[in-house]
Amino acid sequence: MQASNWQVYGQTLNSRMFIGTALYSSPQVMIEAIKASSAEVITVSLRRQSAEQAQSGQQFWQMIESLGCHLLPNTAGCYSVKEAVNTARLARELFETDWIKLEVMGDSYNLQPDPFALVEATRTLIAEGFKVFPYCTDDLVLCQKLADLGCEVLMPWGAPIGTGQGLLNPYALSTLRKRLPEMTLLVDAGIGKPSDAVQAMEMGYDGILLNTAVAEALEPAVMAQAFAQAINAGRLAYEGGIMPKRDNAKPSTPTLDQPIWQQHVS
Amino acid sequence: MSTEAHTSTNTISVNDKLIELAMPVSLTQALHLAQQVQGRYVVVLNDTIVPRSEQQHVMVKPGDRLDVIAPMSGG
Repeated sequence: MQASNWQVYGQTLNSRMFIGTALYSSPQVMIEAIKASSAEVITVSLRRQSAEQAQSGQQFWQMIESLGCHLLPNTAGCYSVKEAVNTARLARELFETDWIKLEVMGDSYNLQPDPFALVEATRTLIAEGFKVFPYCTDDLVLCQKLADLGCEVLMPWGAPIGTGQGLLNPYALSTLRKRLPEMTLLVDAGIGKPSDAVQAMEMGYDGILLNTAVAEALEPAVMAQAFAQAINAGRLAYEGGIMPKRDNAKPSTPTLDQPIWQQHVS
Repeated sequence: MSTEAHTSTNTISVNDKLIELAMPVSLTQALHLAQQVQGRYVVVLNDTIVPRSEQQHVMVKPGDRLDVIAPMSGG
């Protein structure tokens, strides 16, 4: 059974998994993993190319094009508003999309987003017609400001990029879900294993963006499929309605009309 | 960007690599000569993006700085 489809900036998607194109051991491994994930959105980036790199860049592009996925370019490596905005403009020209995964880093040690620069860059890019997917922390006030600017999607981190530590602050992520009920939320970064993704999806997150957990698995295509199933299961659980936790036991077998000799008197 | 690129009469830089060109030359020709025209790319001329449709009409000048940006993998 497939969970319900969803909309991202007006685009209807069936898969709730976004997947990155980096860190795979080979282009073929990347293609197999992306296909196994059933993802319909893939993240890409851009760099200056030398004449020597031109051929491999072209091969990468042909492979990406063959997948037929929506492209979500990122601004990875940017540490200022100016860098991020300029990179986004280049990405729009290069990939012919106004979608942008906006990354403005504030710290090179844990690659934590700079919330102040992120807000400023978001304001500029939305004014230029971009559909911004901000990579942000799980700070509620930051996320509210990004929503106020017009973001239809927010992508708070679960943990720092590439750490695979899972959801370090489930309380903050859960609070975001409760306080921004209409916002499309994806957990981006820090997901290490399928159960991390399930945890986020059971909270009501709309999707998961990941890369390293698949790319660095022993069998990326197998792991991609595991994540796809986990994300779907987590969403189905959310849509199914998870029972509330109780402090006291409650029998699952009805006791009404139970033969009298089996009843216990407390 | 080195100062040399700006002062040499027929030199431009392409991704920080200096190349000598016989001028006048269009942006499209310059990219061909620099072997930078494979596949999908975007060109930035002195910090300004030049749409592909305009590249053949733009003439490069000595000291110009070209950046050729291409797709790559990303997370």
